[in-house]
Amino acid sequence: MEMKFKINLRQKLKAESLFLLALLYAFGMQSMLANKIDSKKKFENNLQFTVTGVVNDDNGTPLPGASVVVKGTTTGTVTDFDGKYSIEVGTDGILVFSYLGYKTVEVAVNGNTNIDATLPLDATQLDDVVVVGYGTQKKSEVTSSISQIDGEDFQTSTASNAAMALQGRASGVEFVNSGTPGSTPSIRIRGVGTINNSQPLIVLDGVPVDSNVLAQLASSEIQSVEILKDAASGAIYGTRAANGVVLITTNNARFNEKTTVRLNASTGFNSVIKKYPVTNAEQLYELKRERYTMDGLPIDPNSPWADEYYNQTRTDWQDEMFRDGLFQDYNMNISGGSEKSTINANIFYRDEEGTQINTYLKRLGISMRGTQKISDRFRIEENIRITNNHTLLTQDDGATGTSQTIYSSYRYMPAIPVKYEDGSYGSGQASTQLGDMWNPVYKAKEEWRHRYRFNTLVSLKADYDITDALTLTARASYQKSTSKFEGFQNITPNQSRTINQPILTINTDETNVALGELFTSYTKSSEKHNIGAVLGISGQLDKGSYMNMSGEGFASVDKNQLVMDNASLIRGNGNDYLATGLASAFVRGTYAYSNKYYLSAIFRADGSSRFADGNRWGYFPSISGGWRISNENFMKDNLIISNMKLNVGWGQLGNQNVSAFQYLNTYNKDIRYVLNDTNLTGTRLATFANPDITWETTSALNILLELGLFKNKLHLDVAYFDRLTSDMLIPLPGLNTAGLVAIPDSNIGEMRNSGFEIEPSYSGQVGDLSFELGVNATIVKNEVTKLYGSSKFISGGAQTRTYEGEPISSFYGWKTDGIYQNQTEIDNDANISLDPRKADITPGDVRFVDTNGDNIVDEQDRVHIGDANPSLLLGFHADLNYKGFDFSAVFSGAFGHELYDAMMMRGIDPTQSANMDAVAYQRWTGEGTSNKYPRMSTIRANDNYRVSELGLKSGNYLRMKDVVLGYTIPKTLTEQIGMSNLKFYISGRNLLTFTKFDGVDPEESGTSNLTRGVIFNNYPQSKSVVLGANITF
Amino acid sequence: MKKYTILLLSIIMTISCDDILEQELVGKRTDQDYWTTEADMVDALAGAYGQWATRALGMHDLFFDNQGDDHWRAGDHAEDEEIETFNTNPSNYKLRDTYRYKYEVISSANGILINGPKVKELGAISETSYNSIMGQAYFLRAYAYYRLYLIHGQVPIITEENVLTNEYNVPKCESPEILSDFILSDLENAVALLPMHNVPGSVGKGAAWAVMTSIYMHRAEDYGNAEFLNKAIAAGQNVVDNYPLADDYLSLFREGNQYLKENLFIMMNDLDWINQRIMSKHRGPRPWGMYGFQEPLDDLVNEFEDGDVRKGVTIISDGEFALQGSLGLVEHTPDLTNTGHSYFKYMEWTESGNFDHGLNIPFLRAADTYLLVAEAQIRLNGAGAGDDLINAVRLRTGLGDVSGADIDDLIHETRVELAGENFRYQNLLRWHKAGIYDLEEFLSRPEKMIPSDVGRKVWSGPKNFYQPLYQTDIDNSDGVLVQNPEWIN
Repeated sequence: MEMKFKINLRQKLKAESLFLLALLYAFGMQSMLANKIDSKKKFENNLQFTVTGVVNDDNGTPLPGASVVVKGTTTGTVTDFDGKYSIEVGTDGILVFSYLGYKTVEVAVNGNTNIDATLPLDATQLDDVVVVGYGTQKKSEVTSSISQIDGEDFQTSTASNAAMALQGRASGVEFVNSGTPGSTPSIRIRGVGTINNSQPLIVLDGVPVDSNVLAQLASSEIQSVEILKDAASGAIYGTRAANGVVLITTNNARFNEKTTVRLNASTGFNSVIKKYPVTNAEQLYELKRERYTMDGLPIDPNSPWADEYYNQTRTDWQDEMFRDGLFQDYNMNISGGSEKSTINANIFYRDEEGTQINTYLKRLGISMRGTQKISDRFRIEENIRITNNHTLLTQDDGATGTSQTIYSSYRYMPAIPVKYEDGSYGSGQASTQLGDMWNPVYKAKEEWRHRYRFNTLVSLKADYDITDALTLTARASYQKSTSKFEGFQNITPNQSRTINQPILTINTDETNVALGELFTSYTKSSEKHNIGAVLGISGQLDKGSYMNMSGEGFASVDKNQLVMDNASLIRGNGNDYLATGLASAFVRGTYAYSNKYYLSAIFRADGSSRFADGNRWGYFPSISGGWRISNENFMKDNLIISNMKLNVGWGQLGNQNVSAFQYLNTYNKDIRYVLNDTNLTGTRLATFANPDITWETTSALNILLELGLFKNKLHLDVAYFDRLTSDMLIPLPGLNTAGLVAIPDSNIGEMRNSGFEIEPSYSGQVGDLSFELGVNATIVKNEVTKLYGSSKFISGGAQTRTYEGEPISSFYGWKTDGIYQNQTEIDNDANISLDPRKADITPGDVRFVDTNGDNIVDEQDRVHIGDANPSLLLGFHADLNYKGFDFSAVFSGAFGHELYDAMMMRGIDPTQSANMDAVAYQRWTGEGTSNKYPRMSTIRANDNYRVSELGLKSGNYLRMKDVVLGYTIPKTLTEQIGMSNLKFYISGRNLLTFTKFDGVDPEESGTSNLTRGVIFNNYPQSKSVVLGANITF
Repeated sequence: MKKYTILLLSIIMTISCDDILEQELVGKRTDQDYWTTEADMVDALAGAYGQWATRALGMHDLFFDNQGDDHWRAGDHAEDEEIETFNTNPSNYKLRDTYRYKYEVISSANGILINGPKVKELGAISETSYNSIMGQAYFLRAYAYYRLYLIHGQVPIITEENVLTNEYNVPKCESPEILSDFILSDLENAVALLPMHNVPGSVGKGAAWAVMTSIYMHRAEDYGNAEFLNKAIAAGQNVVDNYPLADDYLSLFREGNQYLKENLFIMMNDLDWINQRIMSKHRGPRPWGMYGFQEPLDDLVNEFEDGDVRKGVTIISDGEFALQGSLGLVEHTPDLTNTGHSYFKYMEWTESGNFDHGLNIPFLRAADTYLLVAEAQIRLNGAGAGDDLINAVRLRTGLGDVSGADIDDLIHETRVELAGENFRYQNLLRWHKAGIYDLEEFLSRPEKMIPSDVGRKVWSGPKNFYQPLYQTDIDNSDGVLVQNPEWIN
């Protein structure tokens, strides 16, 4: 560890100097960097003369930035804008021309002074490389399921989070998005792999990072994203790979690359996808009164429902609270390399107004990557990222519930004005029937909640080529993330809850992650054999702490005076986060024979401090093989099938993403009391111990058939997967007889996700029009196959519960059969013929189904009524190019699942003190008026709003996630003004949705896996339209 | 070179694995290092007391008293409406916290009872402190079960043994009597260990005797049940003999009330340190800084005799004024409440005119025990037998003595003395069982509820003797926990 921290110190120094360099770059002082070619003459005894020429691609287009090197020397140059070069070379020298994505060409000089080179495209896509963790692999040799998404694909997306732009582009990958500015989507790969935390491991340029880092990336930085979906590929990340691995590679410069500057600027609008349909004041007044009259009760004379004032709509709260939010996004990339060093810098800034008033995201970031060749055999690479996300919100990300402004934006009383004539804010204080809610405009305008998240990542990697085939790599990285929350609530005398004193809250936290890795890579190729191996070790430490403070009683609420020193009373608490360590060793071997047979095996051992000694180490093997059938002799002459490869893999992965130290019981010191006039902080047993807690293991089988037809114009990938999660970690159902003591996670069961992925794509050209069309479809079946020991079910929130043989988080409640239309129906209904509440049930109540046949509707009649796991995920993308124009569209959809609209169930219940859902107006008012929405009533004997099929809605949707139309100005024009590329584009996000779901957003969902598909009114996603420009110098 | 690499790898591995995997538990304690000092025991005790200020008794427990006739629920919670009209759905989440937080107190008390002896063995605590803390642990556990006994009748009994075997999924005890016997034995232990008077914020013997008295009165179901009425008198007399009543009724509910001997068990609070609003803020009008639950009914207000000091302390009505610090006198106006009344017992303002939600709230007062003993005397020995005790309570009320007081006089005195203190509905149930009232008729009288509840607030026994158990607990117990009679979801 000692060594590692020394390295970290060095990196920090490096970080500072590189940061300065980046700033210099930003001011256009690229000349500060040595980008000139080292043209030292090394071969004195060889007559040197100058060779010039042009480097072109197959089509004769000049290749600017191509590398030209004299073979066997370090002498080299790069081509200019026109593909031209000039180099000093000996008469018997050999020139090596190379350019990424093209085949390398060698030309003997033989005394020629003009040598033009033509670089053919590097064969087919098959020879692309894929990032696989601790190295890369030729795509053609990969024997597992890895989705690769080219960074180009979302350069022009308007999504505020780079991860969101992936949606719809890869099979088997599902997203749950929140609209909160700066939020990170939940990503699920090939189904919900586990209940506890199914977020995949995110690896950024080789460094595992927290998924919130996704919110701190600019789309333009991303060069490629690889998603390791099966065990055969994921096993290299062992214990953290059970939910898949997302490998993000950011852009980097190449040696001998001419310095280029790329600018991207875009601006546009965000707006809410849809308004939430609620009643107006007149309808609400009628419904609230009707609940008395239907019950035969007098209207409560003291309630607002006896006051005509509340029979007039004064405010559409959604119009007041939502707006078109302006956003602007700028980023600049500077990239270039000399023979011995490269530097790549990104500077990005985003200013995004939320769709809710007085909310925004401001993101500023800088990232630098550099490489130095110390010698022929020794290279050092640095990667430094510094980002700051600043959000202003009226409520926290992911926060739901009745105290949140999203809820009050929908539900605040429409009869209350935003402000009264005297200038004070409208209030529901007059009656508790007006709801325990605050005027949302007051909350948005008079209070604030700032959150600053400052992330730094410094990573240093050294490669040493021990021999030509064997490389030793050391990597050390350090991440520090600090966040600060600053919230303010003023004295609030006239809202439903009052606040006596101004309250300032400042919470800070920091997390530190140190990573050290050492691995060797071996590659050896001969005509028939390709051998690759990686062997390494890795250690990671996570530590952190938090501190919360709140101050009350400020003499002045001037923003400049709101500091803790000025509070008359300060309260606070703080602690360390539980530290965790992970120690690992891993090995991977790959072998390819004759481009026909491929074999890959991985073994990783992970030790985690989260578990007790004896349960710490987990071992994760995988093996996979591939057979390129199309290279067999019997297929050689097949005119239709140009590529056909069958891959089969199996492996085991782990999941340890649960709280640390659950093998110990813990006492928390957080209960305040006063004994004998002395202030004390009392302790309590906070968690029980589970000494046996250990890894969750996922065994996964993957069968993948790759097909290329018609000279690889039509691709078809078909995969079958079967993932079995065992020893699944989840707390046993809690019993309140244990008080507040937290139940630790236990390894309680098994779950299976199996299905198919089908991914056809076609690329072609018709005249000047080239296009690529692709579909990805994923069929997943999720089932909890076994619960261990005494566990009978997994309990979720109020709405979900999972039994053996059912999908995870199934909706659990009563079946319904319409509405009782008249007394005869009640009298004759077998469902309730013996029900003690029968006498209290009246026409207009919901008919619940007695499923167990005892003629009583009670808790025994609850059954599985639906589930939120889509059985089909569908993505579709189209990319078209025509002369200077390009167009692309991405659709994403999910089918075959239900949502439970918990908010609508509140919204049709007239006893709730809030504005109602518009559908409440379609309630039963007499025989034949409605067979779905029950009557207005204050009597809850039949409990019409219990969890039942009444709240179920189909979740099917198809949505156009991204659409982009771009135009690139012809080079002949742009070069005259010194640009090598100029492109304008207009792009849109979430502009079209096809769904029968009548809420705001069918993509909304409870954020935890146990509340999946339950609609709680989260911050809605937005739709946006953007105009942007890409400029390259 | 290769072998050096492998050597290097193996060296680093052996060095770093242990460093990485041996992480210390920072900022929290565990059984391996807790329970070694007196401070550990005191902190654990503070942890058990501290829960009462949150939700252990909290507003959810108080809402069961809405089923009586002192006040109606008010507020904006449909769940409260279910409870008040005796239609509680077992899935009503208001059943959850009051149950769960009491078990949290029980968990804390069990922890002390199990581990206290270890601290003593280490010689880390004096005999006096040890006895006091252990006695308080017995009392706190008993009091938590006592509330559960009143609310649900039968619940699972979790003792030290369950904690040691990690067995929390147990059936509820077979009868309310078994639960009350368990509580009584804890209280006996408490009485044996506790000092007569303890430091402010702690209980002494008196609190244990008071709960005993109450339990015996609940056990004395028949009007003249000599066995339990005598036991109640015996237990209660200890309180009468040792715990004098305060001279000033108002002082029982205002700052400094933790020093009064009459307040046997008190929920400590203050603005600066504990700052607990859940209990102290929920009764009273929203514009005055409270949450607007529980408005007294005319039926209660009319119960007060003219000139009774307790009326002004307990209730503020329309047209009356409250001194709200720098705001001066503020009138209680008709727009503040539905009934025209608010509980004033728990209302205080700071000098700057802000609502002071930092008052200590008494849970057990000696006056309650005085009146229980008086009731037992009357029920055993007829009218007049409780006069002395009733008059002791009336001494500070500005009212004259009673003589020949019968059970109705006693009930009247109890109602006004303890109004708003969470006793009324439980007392009504006792009096129903003793044949004094027929609640089916009594609680259906229009004056016993707000007008819009007339016709739908229907009490029916034996179902409404107890609240149902929370459905999720029944579900999660997998058939071990059985619902109370006649309750279905």
